[in-house]
Amino acid sequence: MTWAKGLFSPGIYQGDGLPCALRQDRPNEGSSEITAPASQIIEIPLTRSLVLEGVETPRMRPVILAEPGAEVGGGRPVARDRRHPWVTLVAPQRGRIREIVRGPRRSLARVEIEPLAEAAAPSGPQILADKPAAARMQLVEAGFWAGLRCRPGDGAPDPAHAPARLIVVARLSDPAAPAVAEFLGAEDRGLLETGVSTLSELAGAPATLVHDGPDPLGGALAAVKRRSLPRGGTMRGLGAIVAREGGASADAPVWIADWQEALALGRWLATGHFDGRRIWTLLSEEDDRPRLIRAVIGTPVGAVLEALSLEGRPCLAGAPLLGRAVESLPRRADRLTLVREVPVPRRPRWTGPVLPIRRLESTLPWHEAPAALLRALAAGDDARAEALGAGALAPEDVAAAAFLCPGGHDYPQLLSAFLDRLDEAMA
Amino acid sequence: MNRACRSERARLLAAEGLRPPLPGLETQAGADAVRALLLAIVAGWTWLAAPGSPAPAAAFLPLALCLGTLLAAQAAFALLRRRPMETGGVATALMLALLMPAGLPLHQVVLAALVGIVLGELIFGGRGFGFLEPAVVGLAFAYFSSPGLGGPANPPAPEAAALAGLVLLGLGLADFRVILAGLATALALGGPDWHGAGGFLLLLAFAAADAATVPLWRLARWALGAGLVALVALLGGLSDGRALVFALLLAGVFAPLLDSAARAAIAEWRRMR
Repeated sequence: MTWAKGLFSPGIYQGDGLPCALRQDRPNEGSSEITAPASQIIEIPLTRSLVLEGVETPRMRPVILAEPGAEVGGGRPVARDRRHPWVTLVAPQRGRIREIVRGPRRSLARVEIEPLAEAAAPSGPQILADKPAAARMQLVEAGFWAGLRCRPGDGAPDPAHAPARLIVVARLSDPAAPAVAEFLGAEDRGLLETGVSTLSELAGAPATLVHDGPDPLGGALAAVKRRSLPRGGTMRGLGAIVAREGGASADAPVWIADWQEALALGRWLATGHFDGRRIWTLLSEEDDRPRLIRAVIGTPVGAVLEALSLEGRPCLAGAPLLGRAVESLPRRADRLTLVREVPVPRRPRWTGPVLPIRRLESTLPWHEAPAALLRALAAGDDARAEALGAGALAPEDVAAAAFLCPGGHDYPQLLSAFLDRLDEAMA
Repeated sequence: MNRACRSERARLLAAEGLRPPLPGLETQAGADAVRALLLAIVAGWTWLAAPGSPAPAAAFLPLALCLGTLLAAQAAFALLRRRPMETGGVATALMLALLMPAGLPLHQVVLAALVGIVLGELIFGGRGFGFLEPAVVGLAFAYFSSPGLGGPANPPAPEAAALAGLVLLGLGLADFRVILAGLATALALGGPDWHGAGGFLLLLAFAAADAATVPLWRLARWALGAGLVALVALLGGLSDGRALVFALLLAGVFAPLLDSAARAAIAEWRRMR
């Protein structure tokens, strides 16, 4: 009765916690490579070089802080944005800068770091809890601010301005990934609690912990509101989460922290050590469910595939339909998808109207009028787009719409342009 | 797009819980072609297969005139604008031919088609850029210009219209909220008689629930479906094609107002929550 479900619940998750039946019906071509349980994490060894890509901070106008040959500590900024000094590119591990490559218009293309053994860490640092502004700058210099996100826009938030709310996302982006609570150990749970508590105090705003499955904090931090979201499908995007928490606007920005950033913050406060390791989900065509891998940020994708005995092919980070190919493990996306070729939406010579057909509206099922929002973006009507909640979105949230709209509009690019104009208006 | 690329897209869309479009439905032209095909099936069923079918000339001559007029108008605008020609003309011509009042002089048929396509669609930039269904505008013009005439000589076969509407619904090209609300209201009010049911179902599925003219707010679509049918009952009864056409015209004009009302209602509900 899948067709009937699609008739009356367009695009919303299928209710069984799994992706669309189309994927389940796909024939299993040969045996799956995965034999480990869904929640087992595969450790990827440290490689001889780490690569930080400039696409992680696309609007950055970089000021290089460490030249090739210089040594940087784990968590120390390697580059900083000229206009917004809190936007930084951070070394995930103590190492020596091997190469800095500039891109077009003096942007930063990549930074290659040769990792070195970690120095003995001092005892846990003291956060200036009674001075939130100074404490936030501490986190900027310690490398944790780069892991936070702000809506509107998708960059690091301005530490000088308190948010309207803080959202800690405690789930993996891949719809088929296990819940965080299923693989979070007791020690990490304590560190996560410390990190969430610290972020909540620094934000000075109501905090919400968004998760699926069991509560990863086990009921601790009662002051932090819990939001359990259904698993699967199009409800996983940050845009959906922010919209469900009341939306975001220039006057009421929202800070978003990934649970791994909060966990790393908790570990830093406890041990003084900046942990550059993160967990990603990796889905290839042959697999029915994603693998969980843990590695240091910046580990080359080729090394990861070699460690997993997978053939080399393009790797997309974040929403696969956004088509952002990466050569190293990114900090700001926890989802990796291996593809045969990078998907590109149809781009007709003449764009057509934005019609509220079912498949287009299914890309933003949590919005009351998705076609109105997309139409405002297509028409360049910034006031209307902002009134309809475009401030809560990032390009990844509208990537699917670009594939399913018969009008052929490039919604990620339209939204990026809108966010740039909003950023300039706020400046 | 080659098969491997389409398969890759389908896999990635499925991973997001989304269904890829059926082959041919990725573009607006494909959707228009499907609408035209469904209407052609309804027309063929009504004029050739149903009992009491008219002589072929009586049925197909208005269709030929409508089609020629619409295609000529679309071609003229495409040349003027230096853009590809719109593809919705065939479906509009079929709807006009199926529902045009009997006894309308042929020159009026041409005028109605011209007024419908130009004022209902082309001056706004094409299908989807305006707020009125061109077939409804053309039919309204026909009824205005010949007030003494009744409905079509051979109304659309209800079973064909129902089947076409179901297919349109299944393909996601018609909004189910408008159709469900309209049908529920019609049933509550006694429903149209068999003679008028075909036209009622056809206009409900292909005009009222058309993605090009429905309100953008989902809540407003429920209101549109129910309000439209209630208005039809008020104007002349559910079996009166003229009442349905005028009600559709008013619905198109007031759809933005319904959107504003829905948006305000949702904002107020959120504020109270």
